[in-house]
Amino acid sequence: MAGFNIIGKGVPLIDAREKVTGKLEYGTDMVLPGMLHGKVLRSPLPHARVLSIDVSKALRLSGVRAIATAADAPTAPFTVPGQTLDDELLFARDKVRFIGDEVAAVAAADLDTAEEAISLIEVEYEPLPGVFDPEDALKEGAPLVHEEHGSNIANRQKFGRGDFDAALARADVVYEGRFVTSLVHQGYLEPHGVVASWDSSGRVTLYLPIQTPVMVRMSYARALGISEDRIRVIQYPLGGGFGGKQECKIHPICALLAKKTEKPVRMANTRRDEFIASLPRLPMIINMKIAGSSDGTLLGKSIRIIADNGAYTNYAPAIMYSALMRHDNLYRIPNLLAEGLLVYTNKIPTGPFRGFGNTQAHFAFESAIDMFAAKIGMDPAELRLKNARQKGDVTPHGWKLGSCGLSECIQEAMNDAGWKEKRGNAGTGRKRHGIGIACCLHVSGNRAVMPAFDGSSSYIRINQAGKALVFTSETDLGQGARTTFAQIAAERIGLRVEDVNVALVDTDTSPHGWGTWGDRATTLGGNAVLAAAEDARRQLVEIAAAKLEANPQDIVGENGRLYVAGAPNRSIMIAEAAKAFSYSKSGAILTGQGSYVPDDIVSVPDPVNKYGNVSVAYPFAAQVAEVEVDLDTGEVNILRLTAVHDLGRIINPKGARGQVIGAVAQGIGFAMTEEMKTENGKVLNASFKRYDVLRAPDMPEMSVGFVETVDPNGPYGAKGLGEPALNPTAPAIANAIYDAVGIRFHELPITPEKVLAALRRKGRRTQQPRHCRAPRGQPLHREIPPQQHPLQAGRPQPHRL
Amino acid sequence: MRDFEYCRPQSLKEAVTVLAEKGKGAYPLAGGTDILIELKRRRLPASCLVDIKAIPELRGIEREGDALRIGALTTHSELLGSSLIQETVPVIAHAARQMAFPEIRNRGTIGGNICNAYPAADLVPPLIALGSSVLLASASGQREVGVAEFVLGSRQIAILPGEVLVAVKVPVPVSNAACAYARASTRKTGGIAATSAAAYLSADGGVCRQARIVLGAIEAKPRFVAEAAGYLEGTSISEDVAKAAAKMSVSGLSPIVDPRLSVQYRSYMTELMVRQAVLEAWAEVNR
Amino acid sequence: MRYEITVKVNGEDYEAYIPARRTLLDFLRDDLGLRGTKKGCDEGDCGSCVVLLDGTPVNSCMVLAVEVNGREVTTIEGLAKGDELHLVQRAFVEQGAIQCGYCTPGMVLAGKALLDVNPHPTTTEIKEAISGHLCRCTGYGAIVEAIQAAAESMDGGQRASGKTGRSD
Repeated sequence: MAGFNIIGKGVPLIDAREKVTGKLEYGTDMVLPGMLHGKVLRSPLPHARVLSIDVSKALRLSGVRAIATAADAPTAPFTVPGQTLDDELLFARDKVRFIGDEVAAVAAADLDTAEEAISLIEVEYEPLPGVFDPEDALKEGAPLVHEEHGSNIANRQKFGRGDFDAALARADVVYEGRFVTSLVHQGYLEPHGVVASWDSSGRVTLYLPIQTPVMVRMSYARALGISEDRIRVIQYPLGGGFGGKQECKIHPICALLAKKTEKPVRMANTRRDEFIASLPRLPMIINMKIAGSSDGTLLGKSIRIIADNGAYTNYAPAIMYSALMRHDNLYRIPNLLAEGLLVYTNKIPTGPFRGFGNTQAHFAFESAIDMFAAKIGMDPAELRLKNARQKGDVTPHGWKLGSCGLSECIQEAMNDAGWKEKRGNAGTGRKRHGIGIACCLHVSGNRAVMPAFDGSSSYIRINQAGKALVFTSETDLGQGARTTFAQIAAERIGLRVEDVNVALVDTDTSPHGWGTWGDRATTLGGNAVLAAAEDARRQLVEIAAAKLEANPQDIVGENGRLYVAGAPNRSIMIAEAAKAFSYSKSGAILTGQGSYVPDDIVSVPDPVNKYGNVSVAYPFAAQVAEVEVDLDTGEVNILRLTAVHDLGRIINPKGARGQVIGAVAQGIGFAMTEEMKTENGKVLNASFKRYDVLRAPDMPEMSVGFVETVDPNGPYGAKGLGEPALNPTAPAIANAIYDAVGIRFHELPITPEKVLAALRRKGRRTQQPRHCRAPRGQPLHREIPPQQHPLQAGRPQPHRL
Repeated sequence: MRDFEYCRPQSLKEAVTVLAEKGKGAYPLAGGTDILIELKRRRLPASCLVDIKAIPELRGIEREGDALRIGALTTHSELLGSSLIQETVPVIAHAARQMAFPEIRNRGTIGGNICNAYPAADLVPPLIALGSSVLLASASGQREVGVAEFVLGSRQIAILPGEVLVAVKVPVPVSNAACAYARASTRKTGGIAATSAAAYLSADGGVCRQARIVLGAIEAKPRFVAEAAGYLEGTSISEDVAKAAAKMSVSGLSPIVDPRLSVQYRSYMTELMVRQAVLEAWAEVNR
Repeated sequence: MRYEITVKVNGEDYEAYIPARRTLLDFLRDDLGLRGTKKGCDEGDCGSCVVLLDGTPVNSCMVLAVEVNGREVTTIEGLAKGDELHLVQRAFVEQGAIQCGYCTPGMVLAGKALLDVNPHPTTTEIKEAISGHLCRCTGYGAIVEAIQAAAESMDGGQRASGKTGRSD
């Protein structure tokens, strides 16, 4: 990148060496001397009254140090910051509401003992009828998940722009479709973990692999009934987050156990815990209606969402809000109507997952846009180009697009994929080809929660050796935020990247900020780091200018040196300047401070009509999928995927490419293979054996491209990339399948079974499978009672000679 | 995991003695890729694991006349890498390759795959189709049982207390015979079989003389489909013949529940797998 | 029940007295403090815990520590020689094959084990070799490229690039 030394360079992650040597200590690697091990007893029933809990047998087990139940926990319900529906407790008090609900927890000398103790706790339940489908939950007389709430509707939102009914009346063509997204897990490789330790002053330190150290401190303080300042959160590196590490009940439970035992306690989820009691993606039933003219002018759009909250609420209202309106800002559609119902069921609670509702809505919206194009007989890519948002637009929701490369993304993706030649060219025979496009936009630097933390702050300390340490509250989930911050700071100050480190968040010493979600890290965090770097640079330049007898404005920083522009031999090392600063101030460390509070951007949109410019910047993208559908097996082979993203400015090309390919892998999983199957509230595939995450051989050929629009609000013009990259993948694939076989899939994942059934319905196949006897009474594949185990002797059989 | 004892006998004699001594709670431990999961989920009442990996008699792949003797401890990776298997019964290597991932295949054994008696076990259908048997040893001697008779159902085998599976005897198909295996799963890589089929065919003058078709994963135990096999015998197998035989194979199935897929879809895929296996075996026979 | 074992880990001998139920994974992490080996699923599905047992990659969660008595284990900590990274490690750093890094130790060891027996793998062979390893961050692209780059650098860059081309 011309004009930059470090921005735009594919430098390795600043912690790559630690990671590749196995030296980086993750949250679940944390050890304290004398620590105990904790384990949670979870409800085996989806809905039941808790009549009694008897822990006496478990307590008698040697090695058991403490058992905590609802009796040990505060009685006031809580929820996460910025949300208002307090419906969670540390332990189920009178009722359990899903299979996995926390009932008790044990701290013991080792994990095996804790497990044994869990099996010895006797809980008497009175089973209650459960409700497992959000539409059933809305019916009259449905069992109530939270009786005190009066209904199963946890949250209701309704707002509009313009006049949708009038648009409908004026439209030549209307497409309406019902789309369903499934329960999918973030699948971060490191399960949730925590070490909790109390000090003698009554303060607890939580060592956490967490995206949002400051936010969890707020909710855990409420959960534990103590003030925030009595909790110190020390963030540890995360083995992946993807939105799933913003909250976890075992953290405050661990604090409770540590308090009770007066010893440090460590807890970690098993993979099974992850699949039955974490916060997977909020599933939605989406009704999407698109109205427009036959020339491709889009006049109106309405959306109605019924979202399956699960048993507790967490961030789901905000996720539903995002699903109701973010995608409205992708194309020029003036008349909009949105209505959403968030509904309790007796299932695993749900929460954020990369895309935050936008992924679900994009599947429905971008599928519907394609169907609208089909109805008017227009090339779907052309329809998108015709209506694409442009730089400078103010959308009906009040979003101000300071940069927008949507049209360029579409054009480049079409060219790269060979759209014109391949489109509508399914071929004949057993395997049919198809190509499909989908676009997206997302927020970057979303605020929309609480004014107290609208922007971001940072400070940078440069020691006497010229090494900089950056403090920020925007966390690295593994996506490389620390490296991005190091690049920004190094570029601005004139340091080498290897001279910059970025501290992990410690709520005692770091600035307070919301942490990483809503693609905040690069834009908000990056701007704060840039401001702090500017402040540090100013101080260094003052010293250098005095020493070099030059004007401060003539000083240039590069490669650890400050020199006079045009006279590179008149220079001073940054280390020397920093040392001079320190010596002149009795050992003080040169510190640059910076805050970034974007103006003209609202932190909380209007509570009723939800109007307001909520984000610093808005990234755009287009992806094109090329598929092959096997008419015999229903299998869909994804041959190639082109992803072109408007990310403002590339800070690190290797990192950017990795973000996109990784997100696409998740997007393909969302589209094709991933689903937590539940039956009466029970997750049937609670392991990576049966939850199908893509593996290396499953990845298609990838082509990744970038459009640099240089956003006026982004640091060096950069916008976020991590979240948007998976939003268009599923609809692009669904649209490609439509091109191949003319069938619209409304429900994710699009499994071979569904494809085959649809092909058959369409009458393309003549061969009918036979119907088999119902499987009633047959044993399950998975749940084999121990007495039937093979390694135990079965019935002896006579010899065969 | 619950506490248990561990011992590592150095000979077959020692192993069967220990198993007899320890009684009901004693389980042989081979690759461990299944039993450790059962132990971690606290579903197995094991008081003692008898690690049989040091027993020399349980190792090796040898040709013994018309059959291969495959030691019970032979791993899936060893099956894959064996040139003897590749030359004589390549279908075994092919089936071994379907199983999970390299690391699991480096540990999991043929003996474990059979004794585990998991309906989706990949080696079992081809072994049965080939007419294989297992050699079992106990304190009172040795016996041989056909794999088809040994696997009684889901997680059930005809093993006697104190017995150890020593080896698998696989008849080597004669020159005008071949066996093929096809399977379907919910994912492309390393998925558990949702349904599978093995077909053994022999031919004489362009006509199928003997056919054995075995279905795996779809029912609680591997299923011989005699009607379809009988239909193939005496015909010159074509696409249509294979299709008809495949159709016959799925009539009257009693599929076990797979939470991921419907019965209809799995029986349809079973039909496809039979067709594929029959056509592949036939192509091989006529090569 | 507890048993005495002797095991060589990364070239050093260890003696331990451990319960039979302790997995090799927990033994490495909790008894030896070698926490570079990660626990992702504890059921052999994710590959985070892969180590080399006498040179062969295995899921250490699926092996009991007592089973490795008298054998040799290599973990990620045993790969670099002092400050000098193994070629596979270096390629992972340089190719951007690392994001959160949780899968990295297992991936690197699987890559090393592959190149030990097959110094000129095709991309298909590389993908197969890491198929037991989940990575939720990278989409595998850069990881496959890194193993390929390591293979090429082992050859001193002499080999025709076509041999590991993307086309296979």
